Amino acid sequence: MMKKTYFIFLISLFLFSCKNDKENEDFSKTDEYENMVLGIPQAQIDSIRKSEEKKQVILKKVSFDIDSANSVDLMLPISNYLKEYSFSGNVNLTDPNSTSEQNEAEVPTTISIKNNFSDGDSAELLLVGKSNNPNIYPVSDIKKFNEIEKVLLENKDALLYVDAFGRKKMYYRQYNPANSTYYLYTVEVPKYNDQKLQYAELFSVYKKAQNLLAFNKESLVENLTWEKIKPSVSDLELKNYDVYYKSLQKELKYFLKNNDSVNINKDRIQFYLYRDEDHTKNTFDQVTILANSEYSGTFYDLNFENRLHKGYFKQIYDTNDEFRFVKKISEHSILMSATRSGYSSNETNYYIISSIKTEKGQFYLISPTNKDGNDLTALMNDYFSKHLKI
Amino acid sequence: MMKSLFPILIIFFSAISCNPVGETVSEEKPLDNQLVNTVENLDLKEGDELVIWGKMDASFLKNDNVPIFELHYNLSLDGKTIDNKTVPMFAHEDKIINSTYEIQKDEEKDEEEETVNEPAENTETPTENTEEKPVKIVKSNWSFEQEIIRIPITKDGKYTLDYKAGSSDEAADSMFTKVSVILRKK
Repeated sequence: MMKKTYFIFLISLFLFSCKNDKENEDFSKTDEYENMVLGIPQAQIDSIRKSEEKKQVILKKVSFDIDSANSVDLMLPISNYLKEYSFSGNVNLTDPNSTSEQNEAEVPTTISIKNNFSDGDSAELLLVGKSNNPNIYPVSDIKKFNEIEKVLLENKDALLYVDAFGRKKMYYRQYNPANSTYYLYTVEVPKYNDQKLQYAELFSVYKKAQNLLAFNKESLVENLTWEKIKPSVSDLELKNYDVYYKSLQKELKYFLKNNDSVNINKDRIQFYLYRDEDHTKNTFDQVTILANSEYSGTFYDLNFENRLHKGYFKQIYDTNDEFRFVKKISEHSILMSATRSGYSSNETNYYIISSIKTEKGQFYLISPTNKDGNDLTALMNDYFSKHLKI
Repeated sequence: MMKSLFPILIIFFSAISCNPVGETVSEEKPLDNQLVNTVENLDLKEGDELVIWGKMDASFLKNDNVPIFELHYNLSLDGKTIDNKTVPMFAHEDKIINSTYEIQKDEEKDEEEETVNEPAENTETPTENTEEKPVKIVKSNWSFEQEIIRIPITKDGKYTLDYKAGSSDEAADSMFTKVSVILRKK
């Protein structure tokens, strides 16, 4: 009797464990597949989404002229800008197999939304058009016309998904009944080798999309500092900017000697960092001198020993071109303007010059900026000149 | 098409058949000519020698004139500089390994070949051309690795190597000139 029970017990145990195993296997298979599509576990994606949701936004109003009579106003993060673009994006809004032409009058305007590290002009597109149908281009159509492997977020106006090639994409639609205008935002996240960064960027553009028409949220531009803006800058941009400033930090620390300089010109970003041997020896700071004298003259007339024209400015300007102090940005940085003369129109450009004094000597960092000296580069350069990091 | 595959095959075979030069601690990394390049967490022991190798991969070289680069490097441990020097790269012909070399093929000569004295004229036949040209420019493809410097290590630790390189030779700016750095230890 005992033997028999024991035998049955063994068999059932065997069967049971066998079944269990099989169940586990199936589970791990779907789990594995899911992870493969997503790239990282769902829980990690959720926590990235939450941390992006929590980030504050700092917005500025940007106008885009469609033609001489019409323009589009948008609210964008401070580092973003708009560019004309006239091709289709990476998300199908209509049936890709359909050959029927759109009615001419209905063709929307396409605008590319960019930052300094955008993947070409087609990665982030905004289509703006007129229609009396408030439900035009519904999310259900987008689901039909695109190959979607995994939906990450879906509601009436938004669709965030991973496609069959692991690309992260977003569709976001808005409709303003007051002027019968629709805004369709399509995004494909840049293919960085880091899944976490891709998801951070995806949820960051989702937030950008939600604020596109938030005209009541404009931030005051006057008092912006890098400390205030940094928490609002996307991880992807931050990581890219950090590469540049880390490099500048090492140039200061290890490499620039005598009158050495380094010229960085990439991704629409320009830095010119140099050491001034004469100023190092004489503990002289040209930023203070230019500010105190409110200098206005030519490069040639600068009445102190300097490498301003010999270094950065000779690439663009003649020694007889105008060079003028505009304003003080901080104790370390000034805004200067330079104007090329002798051409049909005198074009004035603006530059931030920061003084960096370390135990290794007197350095200057120069970058082009806007007429107010308050673009992202200017804010970062000024911060860097004090803290040697961003 | 096959022709362009051949040098790649040679490089591949020579790369896997060769290893008397020490252990590779950091794979081939293309040089960024605007930024400081960094290799972190180099695990080195007392008695090791960190060997910096440069790799040149050049196409359409004129008379085998490899552009000379200057390498600036800084080796640090816990933020403290251990060694900081500027050394020439590709200035000598010794300590070269994994070298593959070929002269640009004949058919391409008609188009690619130039003379120092006069520009090539397409109207003339190739035979007349070669007679008239006293100084020929031979164009070649050359890829090799060269030892640049050995740095003796006197203390165990995880080191950071920062480096940058530049060249005043205009051939260095050519898109057909690719320079990388490989780190090995002995």
